[in-house]
Amino acid sequence: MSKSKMTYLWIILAILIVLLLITLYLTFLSPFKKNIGLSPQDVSVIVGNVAPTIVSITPISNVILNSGTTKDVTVIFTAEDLNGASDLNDATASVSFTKSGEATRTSVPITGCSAGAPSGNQKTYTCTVTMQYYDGFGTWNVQVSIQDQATSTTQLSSTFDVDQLFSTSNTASISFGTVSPGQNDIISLTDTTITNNGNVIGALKVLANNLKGVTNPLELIPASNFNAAGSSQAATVCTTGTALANALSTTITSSNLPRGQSGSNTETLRYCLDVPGGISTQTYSTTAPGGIQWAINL
Amino acid sequence: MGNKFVKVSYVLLLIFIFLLFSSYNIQASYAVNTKYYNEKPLIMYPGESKEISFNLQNCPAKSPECEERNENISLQQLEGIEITEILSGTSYYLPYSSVDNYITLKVSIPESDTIGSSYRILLRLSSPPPPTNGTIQLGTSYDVGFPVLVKSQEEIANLGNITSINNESAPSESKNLTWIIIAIISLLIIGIIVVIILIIYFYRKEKYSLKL
Repeated sequence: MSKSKMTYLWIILAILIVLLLITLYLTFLSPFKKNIGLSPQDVSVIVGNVAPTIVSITPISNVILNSGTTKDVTVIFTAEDLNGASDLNDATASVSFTKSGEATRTSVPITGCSAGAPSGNQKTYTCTVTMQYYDGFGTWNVQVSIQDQATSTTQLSSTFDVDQLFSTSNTASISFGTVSPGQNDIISLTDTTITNNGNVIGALKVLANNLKGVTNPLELIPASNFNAAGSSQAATVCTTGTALANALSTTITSSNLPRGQSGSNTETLRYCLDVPGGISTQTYSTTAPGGIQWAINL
Repeated sequence: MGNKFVKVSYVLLLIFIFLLFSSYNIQASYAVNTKYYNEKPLIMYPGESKEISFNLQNCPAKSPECEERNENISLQQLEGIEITEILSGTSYYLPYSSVDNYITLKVSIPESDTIGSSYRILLRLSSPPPPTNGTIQLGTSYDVGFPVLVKSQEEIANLGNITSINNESAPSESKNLTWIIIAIISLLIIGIIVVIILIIYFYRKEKYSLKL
């Protein structure tokens, strides 16, 4: 081998050694090491940081929402970090619930989860997520996540079910004022406001019954003489409203009970009455002997 | 004539004192929860019996939307009587703000049922309205209905085995940088070793050729 080639090799060796020394200096000793993204945590990574993992999520049983209020749902999961349980960043533990078309529900940042005592390389976290009474029923996705001190993030997802919640409230009676035999198209004095305190939506039904005479219960005003309509057709209830029927639950097709927070979860029903002719002067009521109450039926 | 006018007026005034006055009492805020509905049927196999429950509440939030009173609820079964037995009775007393009352049903699928057959269970819960001055008193009722599907035990077992757990790790930037630095240092060390080996090799080769 020529002397010049050996010289080249020596030069290459020198360059490589210099590069190695520069790299080691920048990595461990340079005051600018943070500028190249190497924080003290990165040093620990160099000696073998392993991203954390989430070992398990305790299955969440069916969620039963509370009528008209919130429900705290507890989620328990176990995370592991092979660098030691102390490498898990407790403040980053979080849980979120998602479902298509629904508002995402998440645990409160930093304080929403509490860490249990370390067990080997693992810690168990207990988190709380608040759901609303109007959150949709069906299958929700739950995702839990946590970071280690080097900001490596791990996630695990699963599912749980939310039950249907039937819950409504409404004013307790209907009034028409004084009417005459044979008088038609009498509009109820007040509408019935139905408030949805649950998560079931849809058209309302009215379970109607004949009104009986208080003095002479053999005389009656048939339920079929009443029409009912939702807010969308309230102005035309006498012409386009749905005729009610005795002892039957009749769907009011123009009604639609929505779900949502207070103020956006109501529907109103309006009624129209045709008084039959030829009946005697007396009070007709559901409270007459043998009379049966009506009901708003969801 | 005057006498007749008074008589007619009197009759008109009395005529049908009909309904009349609406009290503004609020009816009911009892609630029922169900884990089964049209999109989530109860699935059972022939010969199986299962107890299912429905949670009852009475204004747990004590909100102004409902009056502070206890509720008496009645339960009526409208469909599915042939496979259902109501274990908890048909009357329920719900104290104000309670959340821990339950309706319990026992559903039994006949041994002779064929796979693929189905039923429908429909329950109606009703509460009486509070005493009011109104002529038409309005209660609140809920129709809780759901299908019952008859499947084989194998199909049911397979449904239970479906899991949806995904584990993902998102490596951080610092971790990526760490690996880049480790790779650079490794390459440099390997390069140095290779060059040293070459130098030694050529040095010995040269020395050998000189001896010859």
